[in-house]
Amino acid sequence: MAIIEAKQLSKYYGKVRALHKVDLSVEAGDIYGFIGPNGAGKTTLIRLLLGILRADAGAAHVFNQDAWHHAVSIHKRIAYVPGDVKLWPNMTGGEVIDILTSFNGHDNSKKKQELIETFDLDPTKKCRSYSKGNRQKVALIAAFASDAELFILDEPTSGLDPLMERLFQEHIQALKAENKTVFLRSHILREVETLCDKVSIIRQGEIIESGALKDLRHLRATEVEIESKHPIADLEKIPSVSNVEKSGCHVRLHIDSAHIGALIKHIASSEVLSFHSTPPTLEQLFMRHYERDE
Amino acid sequence: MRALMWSTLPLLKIAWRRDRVRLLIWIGVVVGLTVAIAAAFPELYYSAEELDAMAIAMENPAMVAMLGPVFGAANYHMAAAMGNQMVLFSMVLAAVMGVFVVSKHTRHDEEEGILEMIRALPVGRLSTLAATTLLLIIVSVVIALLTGFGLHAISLDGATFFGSMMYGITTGAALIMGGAMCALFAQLSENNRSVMGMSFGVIIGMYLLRGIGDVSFEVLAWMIPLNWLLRTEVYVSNYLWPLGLGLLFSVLVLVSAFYLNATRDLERGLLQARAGKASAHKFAKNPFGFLVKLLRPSLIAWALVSLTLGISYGAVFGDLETFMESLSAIIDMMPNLEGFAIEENFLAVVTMIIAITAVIGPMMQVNRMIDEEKKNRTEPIYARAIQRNTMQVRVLIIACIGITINLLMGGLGLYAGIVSTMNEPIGFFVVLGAVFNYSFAMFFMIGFIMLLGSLHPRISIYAWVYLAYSFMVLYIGSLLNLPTIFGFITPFGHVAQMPIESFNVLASIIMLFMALMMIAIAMNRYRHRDLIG
Repeated sequence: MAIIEAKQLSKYYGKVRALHKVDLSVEAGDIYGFIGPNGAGKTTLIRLLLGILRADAGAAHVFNQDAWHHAVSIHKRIAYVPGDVKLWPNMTGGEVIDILTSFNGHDNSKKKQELIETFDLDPTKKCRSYSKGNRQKVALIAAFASDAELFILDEPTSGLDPLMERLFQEHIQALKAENKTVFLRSHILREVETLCDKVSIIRQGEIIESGALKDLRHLRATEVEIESKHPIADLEKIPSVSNVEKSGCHVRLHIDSAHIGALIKHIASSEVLSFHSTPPTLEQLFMRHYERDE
Repeated sequence: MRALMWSTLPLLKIAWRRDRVRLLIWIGVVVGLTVAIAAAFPELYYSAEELDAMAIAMENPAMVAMLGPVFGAANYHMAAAMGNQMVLFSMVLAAVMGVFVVSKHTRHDEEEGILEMIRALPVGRLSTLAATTLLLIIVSVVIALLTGFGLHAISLDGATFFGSMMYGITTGAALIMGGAMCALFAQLSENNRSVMGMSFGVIIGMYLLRGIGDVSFEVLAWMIPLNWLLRTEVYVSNYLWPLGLGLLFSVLVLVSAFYLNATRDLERGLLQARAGKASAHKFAKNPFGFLVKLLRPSLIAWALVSLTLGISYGAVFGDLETFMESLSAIIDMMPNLEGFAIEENFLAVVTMIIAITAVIGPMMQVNRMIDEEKKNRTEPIYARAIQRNTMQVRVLIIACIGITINLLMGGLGLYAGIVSTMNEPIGFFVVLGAVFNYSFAMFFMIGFIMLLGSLHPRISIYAWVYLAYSFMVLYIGSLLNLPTIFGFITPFGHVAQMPIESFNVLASIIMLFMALMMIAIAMNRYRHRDLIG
């Protein structure tokens, strides 16, 4: 079942194209990563899904309900953590957590207490004195303490230290075990890589790449480094090989993973000393798109 | 509709929880001032003759412009006098409070980003505005009741229970009107500063225009919604229909606010911000130019406010003249005239109001670095090779320029109004002298807020309390015959009432000296204390 379904979703601010004909589908139990450079339309998309912005064209459905018209009933089943958490300056963190979770109608004081301890938050301090990281913790605890089915997280770890980041990842994995759905926007590609099953890359308001991370890798060339006793000839004849750098018996090239078998056959006779193949990292995927047509 | 307003009550509870201290102080001030002044009234006038003389004095166009038209002059009992002189003041104060109540929970929260979190909860699109409106109505009812019962407890001569309640309800209705207009402006602009600016602008504009309308232009008087509420004629006729009219206006404004809120996007306004420049102008690349650029909107806005204020009051002078010709008898009854024309007496009062208004802008300007500090924006500046007092000296210079511009604009406006309406206008330099006479007291206020902000950012707010106090003492104090000590502890109390009195050299030198002392201490403290952000 699709938890989030966007079809031809578009949003324009005057002449500025914030989001253009975006299609997106997040299934139940997915940990879905969402990445893209600054100003690509990520926040706009999240706000459209939350029904706090209205689409100019297309439709966004969450739990099979229209995100704008049924915002209230959708929000009863989701938890949201914004990238830049702002809280009421004259209330304590503990109060804010209680207030935020109370809207979803559950009393999770035990869970809240556990989370406060694991995330090491002082809930008695006024929010005005919290640092960015601590405000983030407040929002995260409020989110994890709720019984939501869908978690929309907008760069949730941007103010956290590495230790807290790891704690966060553990909690996300626990959510996955409970078959909850997570929609995660992140700048930290390593985080997306470890956590997410599926990824979408957005750029200038359009989704330019989307799918399971392992499928995306197949789309991109694998980098191969070979050292052999004899120089290898005719490498360019193997399908999909590109970027060949040769220096004597040392070769570096890019090849689609589908054709690695052909490459291995070709080099078999050249007395290979070492063979290194590196699948593309998300960062490389990302940078490729980022740098394209610039 | 139910979904649009979902969770309104929990949000109302949060709003109350967050704001209760501030609201209780506000309620105390609005109710307390009205009731306290009413309680002082019997001390001022004893005989019916005195009250009758007062009624005639109040029909003076200058008084009508400031306090509203006189109702029930034929039977000007104590309660009628109190209603006549105080109700407009209570209304404006309540309207201002309404703006503070509404802006904080609407555009302020939206601009801060707090609303984004709220809107991701099971909360209707209109719930924050609905909760704020409920809060506004509750506060308004509380103020209406407390003021009504408070006035009833004092029971001035001629006061009825119904009259006292009408006074309270009229005040409450003004509160709703101010809040409703603010709710509408909160849909228009993306930032809270301009929402508050527009709201106060409209309230001040209504106040000034209704003055002109009531003095000389009946149609204009009837075009001002705030003025409708004045037509309840509290303690005299106690009409209900103006309340209905005023509330109808507020409801229409609120409905449009709700409509706009339902259709617009979060964190957007209907007035779109324009695209700016890609690089800084050469002029803005040094501390002084940078601060001028930051403060330019404030400098321009307050110059315009001073000009408008000057013109508005100046335009009343012509009517003073005709009034005096028709009723030369009352000159003898008015205090403090002693051979001076009524115009000169009025000039002394009006310049004081202009000066107090004109110092608000410069006080904000000199406090700018402290404001920036509270918003965590000084770090990127002071992390560079810039000394703290480099900035402070420059905001001080800009504030002094601000004082000069504002007084000049106020004086020019006043003179323009005087020249265009009076047959024998007061001389230009007399007007300018009377206005600039206040520059020393204003400089003192600048030094004072600089001192407070430099000691600790949180306490600079007390400079505003001090300014409000000064205004109160001088504006209402003259009606109440307060002991002189009240006037003594505000710099504005030491300024000579030019042109009736001559320039007070000694007081001016002392104020200048004290201001310089405060500035010196301020700079020393600001250089050595911890910055909070």
